[in-house]
Amino acid sequence: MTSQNPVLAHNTRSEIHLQPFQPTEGSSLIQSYLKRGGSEQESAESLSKSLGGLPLAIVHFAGYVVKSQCPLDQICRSFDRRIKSSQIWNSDCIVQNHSYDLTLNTVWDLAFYRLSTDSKELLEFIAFLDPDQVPVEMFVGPKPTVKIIHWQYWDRERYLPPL
Amino acid sequence: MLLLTSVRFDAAIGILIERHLVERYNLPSGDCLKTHRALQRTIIQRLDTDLPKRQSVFNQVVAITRQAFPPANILTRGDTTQYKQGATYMPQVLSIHTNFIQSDPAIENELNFAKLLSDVGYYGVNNALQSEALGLLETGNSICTALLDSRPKEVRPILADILGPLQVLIQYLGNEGRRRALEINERAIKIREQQLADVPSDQLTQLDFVNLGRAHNDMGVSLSQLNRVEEASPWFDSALSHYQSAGDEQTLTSRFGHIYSFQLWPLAVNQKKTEVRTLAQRSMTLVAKAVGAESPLALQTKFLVAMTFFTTGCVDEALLLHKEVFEKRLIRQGPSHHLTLGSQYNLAVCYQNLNDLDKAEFVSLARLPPTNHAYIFTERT
Repeated sequence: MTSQNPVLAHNTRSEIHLQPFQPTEGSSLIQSYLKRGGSEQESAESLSKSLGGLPLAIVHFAGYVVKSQCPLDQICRSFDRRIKSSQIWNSDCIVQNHSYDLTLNTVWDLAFYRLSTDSKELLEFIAFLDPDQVPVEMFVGPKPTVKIIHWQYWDRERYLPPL
Repeated sequence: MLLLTSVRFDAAIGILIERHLVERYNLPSGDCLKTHRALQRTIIQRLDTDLPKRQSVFNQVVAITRQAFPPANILTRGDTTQYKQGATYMPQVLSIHTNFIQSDPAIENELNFAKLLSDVGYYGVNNALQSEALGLLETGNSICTALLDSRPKEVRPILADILGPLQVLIQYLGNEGRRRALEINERAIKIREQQLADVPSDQLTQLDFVNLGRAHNDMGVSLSQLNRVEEASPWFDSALSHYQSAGDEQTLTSRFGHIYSFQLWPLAVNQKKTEVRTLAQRSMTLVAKAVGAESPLALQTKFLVAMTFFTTGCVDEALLLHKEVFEKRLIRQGPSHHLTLGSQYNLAVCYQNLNDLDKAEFVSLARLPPTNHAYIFTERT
């Protein structure tokens, strides 16, 4: 059984922390659904990376690609074009398989399940920022090198406008 | 307080890392986070269904980034102590900007965001990041223009700050760009005048004088780019006069070095070789002192000086400067950057004019005909 609920670990004798797919692994999964041969290796790896190597997300997108017959590189470009990609994001289509009957929204609902307010807020901030490199200092201020009072973004009172 | 804050942040990020939604990694400059684009898109699209919340999150992200990105230091033009911080946070602003312009329904125009775009755009112009800066400044212009009628006093200074660097970049876009840049400059001067209309002349601040000087300098540059160098000359002179009202070579080193490099143009066109040499040296010395010899601004000044040397017939000296700038830009900006290509072409033309056609061909990757004709190739500022 797989779960994203850490509480379940207390009810089991052993647990295995699953890691996301590496780009090559994700690419193999995508290509196994597409059955187009290995010609789109690079795009498949890129898609897997953009999806964080999360298997359910990969399956969802592979399902969309199978149904729409669109090239993989077009899907990869959709990550940069918010409006045109809405069809993909809202699509309920997935590859039918015996293990999952979930839409991408369900995948994310599970991922967001019981996140703390701070975690949700942080995730929302990060959604607007550079996906590859967000300096932690942005939120907690620089490491102190001398004893002075530093700015601390994570202290919300510092950046909310005064009432 | 810092410990408590860090603990709170670590707790928030911990669960996101555990669920593979965010990854935390270490760089020499400090810890960083990364996430996947699909997750970002999902969150943004969910926020699109709750517009007040989306606006609130956007405003907070802008406020957080605002605190991290250093405000532009207009007086010194090119405060190199800010550049490291600017380089770190510019990608964040570019990402916020992309989300802003793609938002549908549109995220509301906020003056705080326009001010941030203004500062990042200014940083981009000073660091030869033109293509990135152009989009930011265009959006800043659009936001300010939309808010101008309802909040003129707040908007004018920000809008004028945006129009200055914006016209610099617009001038790269061919003849049409140069014409538009002139219109932008006319608008910028009008806004600066409106901004200061109620301020008695004896109460103008150092920043007011510098801003007036910048606007006049920009107007001179625009006219020069349209081959109206004679008309430009008085604008450069009045710009210098405004700078002199604000300070001197010691206090506004970069500003003075910069305006001297433009005053060279009318001098060169009038073949005043001796004055060109003296002022060119002064300009290069001041700019290098202010921003460092390797700074894009210092290289730009050398490029301008090289052009005026060429125009006054000092091709040997022009060649040495173009060669130095080309080699540094090749390393810094790469072989296909437009500034590198501009230097490369001008270097080839110098070789051509010295009848070294082999080197001209080698540098330009094209065979140039022998010539004794002197060109002036300008570089937008």
